Amino acid sequence: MSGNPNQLPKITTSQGTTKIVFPSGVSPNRDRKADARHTFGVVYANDSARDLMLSKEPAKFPPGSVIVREKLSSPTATTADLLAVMIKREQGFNRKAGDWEFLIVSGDGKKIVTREKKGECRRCHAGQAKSDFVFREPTP
Amino acid sequence: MKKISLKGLTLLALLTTAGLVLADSNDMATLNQIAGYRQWTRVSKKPVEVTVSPVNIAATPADLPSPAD
Repeated sequence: MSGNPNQLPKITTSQGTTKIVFPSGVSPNRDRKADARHTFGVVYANDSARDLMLSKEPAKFPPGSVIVREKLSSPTATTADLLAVMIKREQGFNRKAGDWEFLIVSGDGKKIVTREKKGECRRCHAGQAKSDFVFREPTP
Repeated sequence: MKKISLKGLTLLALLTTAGLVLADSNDMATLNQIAGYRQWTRVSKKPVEVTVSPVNIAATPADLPSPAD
């Protein structure tokens, strides 16, 4: 097993394009994946989450906030392969991750593939604890 | 009181587990929370490139950890 599982994703912006590079050592299946792959994501926020997502100031999202990141196979793809979802639950739901629930949902939004309060999702988002566990990408 | 056989209990446990898994993946209340998300505020105006080095969260459904986590 190689890589540091606590290493955080690297976010860079160049010429209007934002790039997120996930470090090795995060996935439980990393040993059987040798090739690097590129995917694309578009992030959406519901009314409860919108203002804080667009704000530069770190703040705590209110319960009911929902953030969806579409996983797209190309920048021009019109349908999502998967949806990575964060739902802010009631206080005390997930004390170690700001009461967020992390879900992976099928691209058509009809089936929950996995849902978790800890694991890979929390580990990666833990680096953003100051901004309530949410990655605030620069908006190109 | 009538005794329940071990086989019966095992079958009941299996059916309960299968039912829970099915109910979890079809949690309509949660799915409804994200229905119509494309009408929400789009935070990233352009698609953000995500490079997945020999890693990743959610590369494909087969790559995902078990839902038990």
